[in-house]
Amino acid sequence: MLGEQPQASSDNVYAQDKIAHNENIIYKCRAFGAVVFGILAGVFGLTSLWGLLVYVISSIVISIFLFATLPKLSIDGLFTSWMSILTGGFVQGAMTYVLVWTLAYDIVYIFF
Amino acid sequence: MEAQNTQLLVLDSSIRNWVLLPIVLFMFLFGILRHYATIALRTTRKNDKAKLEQAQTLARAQTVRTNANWIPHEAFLERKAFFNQPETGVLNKKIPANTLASMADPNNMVDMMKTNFATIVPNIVMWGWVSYFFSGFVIAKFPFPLTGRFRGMVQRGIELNSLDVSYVTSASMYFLILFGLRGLFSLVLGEANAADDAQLMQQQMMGPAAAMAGPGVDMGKLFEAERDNLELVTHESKLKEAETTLLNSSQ
Repeated sequence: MLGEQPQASSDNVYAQDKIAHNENIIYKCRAFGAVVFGILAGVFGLTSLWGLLVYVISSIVISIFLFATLPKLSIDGLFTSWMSILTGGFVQGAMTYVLVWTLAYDIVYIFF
Repeated sequence: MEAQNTQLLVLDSSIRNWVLLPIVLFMFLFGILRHYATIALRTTRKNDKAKLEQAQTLARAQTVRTNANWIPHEAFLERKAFFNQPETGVLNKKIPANTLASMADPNNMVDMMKTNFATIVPNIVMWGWVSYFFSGFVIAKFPFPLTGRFRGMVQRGIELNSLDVSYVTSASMYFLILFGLRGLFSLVLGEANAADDAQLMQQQMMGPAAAMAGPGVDMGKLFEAERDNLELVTHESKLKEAETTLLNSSQ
């Protein structure tokens, strides 16, 4: 994982661009999950807290899948901490989720 | 329990077909257009040869200084002489003072303006379009309740106090779409899709040394400082004790 511009700290050396790339992939997974589960929540007509619950569940599901795809179930050489898998892109994904959820819900239930 | 407050409001499906979906589609396509316009407008900045040379020299001196202890003492002295020797040292070279401030460089101005245009103009255009054509009526309903505080924000132009706050006008949908589409763009366009991200990447590729050598930085001063730093290094080679360390660890 030693990139061309390693940033030296005391004993760990990280290639920041590679780490950023990996975190971007997590964000993409989250955004994709937000779209899929947002459509689901909207079509099933979930409102208020139920919709929020579905987003949290989708986030957990995606985290589990990400854990499962990690080689040897360890973050060595991929991320700096476990939290980036658990919570990476949570807030940005929430915006996408709310948008898709609102759109799907409105299209199905509000108009006639 | 909120049933009394929430009257069932049914909107005409023409609003969906001719307002809500077109706004989403338009903003999505506009975002993609902006992405490619940014790529088309981007210019690869030419590096001044002398400036790049100075930046690389500085970076090299810094590398020598930070890793000084990994080389033998003689080697370090040689390198120090290369940089610091009076008259001949690389860091003692006379550099013509950089009188041009960053704003005076026309290339910088043009780049800045392009970036600004690429981000601000589309937003103004879309915001004007949405608020000009679609203001004054309800176009959507959030599937979650909002408190009355938000009424002035989400129902601008509709003076109905009895209307449930989760019914919103085009203005608040605009902002929801604006923020929500970012996730979609990252899926569709890949990494670093926004203009500022592209800028950042460009800077990373050029390397910190080149970025530091931007206009407005007085390289003469930096050279002087680096010369002093190099002079102050107390050199203590780590290789001296290498054999003892190895023998101790194998015992």
